[in-house]
Amino acid sequence: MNIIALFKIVPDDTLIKISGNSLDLNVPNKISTYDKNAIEEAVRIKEKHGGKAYGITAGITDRKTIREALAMGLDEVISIDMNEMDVMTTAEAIAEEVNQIKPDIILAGESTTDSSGSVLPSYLAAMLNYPIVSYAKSISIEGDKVKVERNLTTLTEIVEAPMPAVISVVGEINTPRIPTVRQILESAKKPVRSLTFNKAPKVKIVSVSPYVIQRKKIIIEGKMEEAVDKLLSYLRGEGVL
Amino acid sequence: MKVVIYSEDPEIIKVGASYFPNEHIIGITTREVKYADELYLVDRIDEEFISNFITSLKPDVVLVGNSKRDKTIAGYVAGLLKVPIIPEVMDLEGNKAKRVVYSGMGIAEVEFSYPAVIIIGRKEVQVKEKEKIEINK
Repeated sequence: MNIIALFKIVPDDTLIKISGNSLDLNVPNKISTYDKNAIEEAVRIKEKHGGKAYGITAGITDRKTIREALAMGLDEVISIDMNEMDVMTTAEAIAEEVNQIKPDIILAGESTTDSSGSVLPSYLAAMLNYPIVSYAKSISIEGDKVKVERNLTTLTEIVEAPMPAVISVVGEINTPRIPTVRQILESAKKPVRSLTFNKAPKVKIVSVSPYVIQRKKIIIEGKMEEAVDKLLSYLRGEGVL
Repeated sequence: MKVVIYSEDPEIIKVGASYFPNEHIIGITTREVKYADELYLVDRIDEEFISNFITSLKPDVVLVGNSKRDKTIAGYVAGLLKVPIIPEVMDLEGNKAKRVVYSGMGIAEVEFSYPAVIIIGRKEVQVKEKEKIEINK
């Protein structure tokens, strides 16, 4: 069985600071949070069913962070260097490599911490003509099908899909392993195939600025029951509820 | 410009219509609303079926809500149409949009070209109700 885990290398969002009118993005890189869950799940499926677990990353191609993904148990990483990217060009770059690997399952995190879009997995699935199963909190393989429990916030849905399929995973699916020193050392021997993909994106970032919320500072007074009613009424009026 | 707005949340049809007040709006949702010229009501969310239906309408712009299912459909539609997609848009004007990035710490202003798929959220808007609506169930 061939499994691909998609992962994105992003600036560590826990270290990003607001500096005047800009965001200080000059911080260490990391594997995007939920993409670590995708890597972990790919490795677990490989350990249970055999085969090979590939990683594909596009955008920032920091070698130290790629080694961390390999140390977690991926067998090989395809690293696609892209100077400018949007969802469409990223999906195109990944699709070219997927077509060569011919995987049974493609796993991705539900969203990345830089763009929080949650749309790349389904975009890629449509391009490849694969089924998409999003927000998986558990995955089991039964013959040539995958059975997935989906976390749709207000409900859990159980679905089956034929393989090959694209599956996005939520954080609760597993706890990503912390590699041992030996696994970190061995990761240096694993193959990394480096490519470049240059195509002008159709969505261009013009500027990035800090998100400052102007508080309305509204004080609701009165007895608790009355105040709650006033608060609910106000929130309804604002379109929050 | 053919504008298609889809969401399992009917309120999104109103928000979407506010961005394109002078265009012919095709709405697809779960309950009757008066903010589309043509309205398709769905009683079951089959993400691939709905994606294929939206694609068959050959839209110039698709506005989609931001629930988990909505976002799955948005990505799939954009992939089928092979057009750009802009997620989590807070504000839209012409071919410019503002969206949240870096776990809510930043706002990115982006430029894009149509046709496109755009993910929007709920917000308070004033939209005139349509007088004649063609409803398809």
